[in-house]
Amino acid sequence: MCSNDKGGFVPPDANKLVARCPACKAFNSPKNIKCKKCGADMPKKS
Amino acid sequence: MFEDFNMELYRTEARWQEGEYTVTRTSVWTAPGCHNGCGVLLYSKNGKLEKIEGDPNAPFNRGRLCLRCINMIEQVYSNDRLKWPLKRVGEKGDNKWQRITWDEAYDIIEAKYNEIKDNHGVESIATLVGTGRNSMWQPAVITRAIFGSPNLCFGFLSGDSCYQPRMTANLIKLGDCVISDCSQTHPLREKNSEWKKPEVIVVWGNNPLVSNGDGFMGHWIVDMMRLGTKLIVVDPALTWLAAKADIWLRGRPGTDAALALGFLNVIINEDLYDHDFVENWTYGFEDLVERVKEYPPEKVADITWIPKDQIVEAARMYAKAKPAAIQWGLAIDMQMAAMEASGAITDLMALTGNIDVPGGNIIQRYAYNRSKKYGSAIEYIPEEMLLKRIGTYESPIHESGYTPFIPPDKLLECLETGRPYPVQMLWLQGTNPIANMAGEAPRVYAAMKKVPFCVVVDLFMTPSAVAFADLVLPAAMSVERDSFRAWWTPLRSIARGAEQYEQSKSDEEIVLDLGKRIRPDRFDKYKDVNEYLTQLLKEDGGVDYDFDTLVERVNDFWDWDYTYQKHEKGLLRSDGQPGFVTPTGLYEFTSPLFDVWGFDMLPKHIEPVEGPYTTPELMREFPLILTTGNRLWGCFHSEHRQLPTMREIHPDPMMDINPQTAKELGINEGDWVWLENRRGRCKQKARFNIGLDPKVVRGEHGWWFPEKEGAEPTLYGVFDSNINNLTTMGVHGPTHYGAPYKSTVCKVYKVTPENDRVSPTEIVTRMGGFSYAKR
Amino acid sequence: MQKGEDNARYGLLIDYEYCTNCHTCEVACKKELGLKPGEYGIKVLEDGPRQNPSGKWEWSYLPVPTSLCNLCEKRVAEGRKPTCVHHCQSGIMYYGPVEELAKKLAEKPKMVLYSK
Repeated sequence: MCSNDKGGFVPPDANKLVARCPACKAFNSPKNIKCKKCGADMPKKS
Repeated sequence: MFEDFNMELYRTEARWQEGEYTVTRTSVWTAPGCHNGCGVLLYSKNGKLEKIEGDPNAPFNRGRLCLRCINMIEQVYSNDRLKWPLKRVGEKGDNKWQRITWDEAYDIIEAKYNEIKDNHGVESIATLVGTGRNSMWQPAVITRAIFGSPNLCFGFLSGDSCYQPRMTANLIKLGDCVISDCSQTHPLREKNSEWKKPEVIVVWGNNPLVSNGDGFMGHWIVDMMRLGTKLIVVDPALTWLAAKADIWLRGRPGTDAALALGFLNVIINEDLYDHDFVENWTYGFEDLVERVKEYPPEKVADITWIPKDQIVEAARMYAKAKPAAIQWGLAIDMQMAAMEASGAITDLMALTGNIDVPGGNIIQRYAYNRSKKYGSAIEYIPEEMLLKRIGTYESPIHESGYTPFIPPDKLLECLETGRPYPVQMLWLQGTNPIANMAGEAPRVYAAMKKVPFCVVVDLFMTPSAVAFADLVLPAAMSVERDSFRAWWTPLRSIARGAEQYEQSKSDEEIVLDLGKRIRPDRFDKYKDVNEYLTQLLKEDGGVDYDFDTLVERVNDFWDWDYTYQKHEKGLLRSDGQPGFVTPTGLYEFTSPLFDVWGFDMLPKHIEPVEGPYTTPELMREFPLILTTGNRLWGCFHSEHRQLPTMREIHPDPMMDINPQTAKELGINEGDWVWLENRRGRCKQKARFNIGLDPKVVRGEHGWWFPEKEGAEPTLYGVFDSNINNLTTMGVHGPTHYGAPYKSTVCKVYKVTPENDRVSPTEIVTRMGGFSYAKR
Repeated sequence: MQKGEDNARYGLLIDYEYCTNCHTCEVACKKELGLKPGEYGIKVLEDGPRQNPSGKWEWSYLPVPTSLCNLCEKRVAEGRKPTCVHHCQSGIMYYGPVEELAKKLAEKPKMVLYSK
């Protein structure tokens, strides 16, 4: 496999780009602390 | 049709002796420029290429060749070629040079690099590259792994508008890129039992017979026509393919997103879509259903100027054909709605169940994942240096890593303003920006003049080299190189079949030479190019053989690339699960990523920034829509103008105009005319195109005149016929992708002695540019 | 492929329905025969484009061998196809004895047979 981190023309790791709200499943920026749709706390990135 | 070759003569090994000739069987990519990698037989004697033939045993082209390879000898041994490194001795623009050795050239580069590193930071070195040829990964490695700068950029191609919008839309929606399946992924071609002929091919926004874009050999379309494939052609001009099509959709330039949305509307409303694929493999279909309600065929007809009945008929024909392929092209990238049109057209492939099916649009990766192209060596750039990338953090998609470039429009702003920091050095490898891809070329000329130090690696002395370079380095041509090609499939050898011309060096050799000097810690481990290429072939799970073995094999088809329905077989995702490489694991009609980035999640129409509906007052002065960049047989962008054989076919730059419009303007066929808008003007010769909309004209790009004086103010006449005197920089779609190269406005009038006293090139190089541009 | 001992007349069959005007035959021929600018051993002629009463477009190209064409006698003697036939991007040119090509001529419309 080639990886985006090493310049391969494949998508970046989706986990770095989006995070799903555990409560309402809305897609959020991984930077969000609270869900933009329902306001629930977003899980902290390990 | 591609049979009956004499197989005793056309052998399948890589090298043999045939009388006095050594025959090398390999592929050709760059230089001269081309997007394809056709198989060739190089017949050489005493290290000199004497003859070239198409390789009948190459499944890619099956013996065929176009003018570029047919005319290879004239190109390789043109006396105009750069023969040795040159150092500027006069002022920039004087075209005065001193011959130096490679060692002297490297000394100058190394000293300059050290000075910049110590005083300014390596980020103030920026590299410009050209379109997709075998000079992509090499400048990327020089920039990132050797200089340590994160700033690699398309040579001022506004909005990254060459394949980047389409590829990026593909990557966002399904995690991979798709191409139209004309059997080219399998060594047996049409005889592959799994393959099916496309019943319909939609040729959308390209004339592939001439352009051969994106690694797609245009005449494969003719192969399919001969098997019975029907065509739908979307093009503002009548092309030969359009004339042969069942349906020719003559759209208004820059309205492809609206047309695709109209197709989607018809296909959904008439229930012509693939329910199985939509239900099992897609995300956000209901949102798309809502969005297409905004694009009924009547409205789309008003936007696109295509009759409603034709839109409906074409949508039905495409949706009912099983399978059907869309062969898309550059025109989709060169508009404000590039990303939106790319997304909507990809949606058409998904909605009709044509993704990764035989004869549809097949998912492709570079053979054995070997080619990283422009993204190469990005792993050498530490995070704090990545953060210094010019303009990248103003574009979420660039920031996320979908496109390995810094945005060209932002680099231009940087050169003009010195912010965020002044660029101290430009490295140009295989690009001639002011003659070719730079929008608003006179503006780019002024900005590039500000950069203190500039190196150009090229084949011939070019206008960009004369205007900006301190050092000019001669590059070797494809037939003189050891390299490989992994863009799509097969993995192909590029093996040297002739000694290098004079003192020229291959891009690979330049990488290694500079690497060993500046970063021996990274490059001393490679004895020579051969070892380096072996590493590139093997690293990160590549092939299990070395470069010499690839040279022996010539072509190696990767079975992954010709496997169909890869999403069902768990071949796409790194976790081995079925599905696509997207956040939802599904094909995404609505893109969660677009939502996170603050973009519209669904495709939409965006009006061209200049046109009858956005700037009606401007149309009173400039009443014609201008589309640019249609390709020339044999000439690749700004290349080939110094070759007598090519110039016999293309003596002058030509603009296309409907005869009725020409008559109203008092223009006869063959007259020199000015094309002018508020940014500038250029002159080309009028050619009648009976099928062109009377309100649309078309101008060629890439024209300069190697036969003219190189020194400024003549500068090979680079601005005299330059259609990019009229195009834009800094005007792009909301996603930072797509620029209106193919949808702006102009007026057209005859050239007369009175209105042609000072040449455009003199205006740009000596008088500060077109005065009306400063208004 | 080899020119026969039978003194048969040889020629070119061209399926001009699919000629795209790519110029490959013209330039391949120039290179083979060493012709100067302005000289051609085969030249592509154009008819159209114009619209027929039905609305269909008529636009055809027709490669015409000139008197400089020698059917690539040197290549043929080596066992090769004439260079235009070998390199034609649409693969629409055939070389052989005219009697054989005449049979092929009957297979589909819009073909022409040139004899030498």
